[in-house]
Amino acid sequence: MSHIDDQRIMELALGSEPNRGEVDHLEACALCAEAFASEQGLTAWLATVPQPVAPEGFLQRVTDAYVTEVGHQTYRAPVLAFGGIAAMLLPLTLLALSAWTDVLARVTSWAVAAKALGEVGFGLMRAVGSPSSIGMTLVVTQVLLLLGGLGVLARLMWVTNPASQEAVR
Amino acid sequence: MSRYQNAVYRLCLRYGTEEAQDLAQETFMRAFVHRERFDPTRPVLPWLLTIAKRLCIDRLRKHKPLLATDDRPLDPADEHPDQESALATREQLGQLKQAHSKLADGPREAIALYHWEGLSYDEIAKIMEVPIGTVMTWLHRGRAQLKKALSEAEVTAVKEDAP
Repeated sequence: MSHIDDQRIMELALGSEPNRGEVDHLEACALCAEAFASEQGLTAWLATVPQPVAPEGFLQRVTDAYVTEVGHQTYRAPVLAFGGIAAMLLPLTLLALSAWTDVLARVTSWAVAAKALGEVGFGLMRAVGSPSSIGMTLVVTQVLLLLGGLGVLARLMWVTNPASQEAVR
Repeated sequence: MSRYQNAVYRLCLRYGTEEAQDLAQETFMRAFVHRERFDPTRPVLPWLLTIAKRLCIDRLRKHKPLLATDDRPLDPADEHPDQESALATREQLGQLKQAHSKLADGPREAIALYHWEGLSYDEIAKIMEVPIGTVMTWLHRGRAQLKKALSEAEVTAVKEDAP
């Protein structure tokens, strides 16, 4: 007679339906019956362990945090998105103005433009995080600006690099 | 939220008593911010507990290991008018809880989520991000360790009572 394995006995004690063979075995085998009773006992003990509850005022604390978060959410995404657009437009303007002046200005513009691209990416990410019609419009605008900015950068890099122009000629 | 606050708070408590309230609050805030990720066809509690567990683990990784014990006094005496038996029950429940808090993370959480939060194997598996078989093994191993701890405590008590 093979015994019912420990894990199965636990499952039976936790409410799993025994099959006919297991019922017969539990009636006939004192060892398994004892193990089963022990598992049932532990289950009963575990059910009586008092459980801690959240402290008084916790609900209010979370509610307050909600209210603050809702307040932030109403303006956060548009601010970030508009900020991203402004951050993109500014270096693009600088870029256009300084494109055919001295090298230092161009290098500075590239650095600012790179930073702005990062800003746009961040704004984009946040706007996508809470989509809405205005949010989506801003996202599209930012994507277009991003592509435009990349195009201007590529063009500028080509213009200012005599080697590439030479290669084309 | 009031329906789930205790379960979330308890899970955070098991991972770290000092910051349990902060972590529980953070859980609800994350759930609120990322509410669009929740599948309304599924139960809320496992989702919340998954967020809570991840937050707790992140916190544990960032900071020093937190205490996982809950030493607050138990008060089952209300349910047991007989003082002596209430004391014995109290002691045993205390031992059981202490033994539970000393279990490894997996078995400890499996037992707590199954017995105290009433979750299914499947839900626990999703929260703990392990296969169902692992949950069952944890449950079995944890219960075996609890039984051992309880029987050892009984033996000690009998020895102390002996003249």
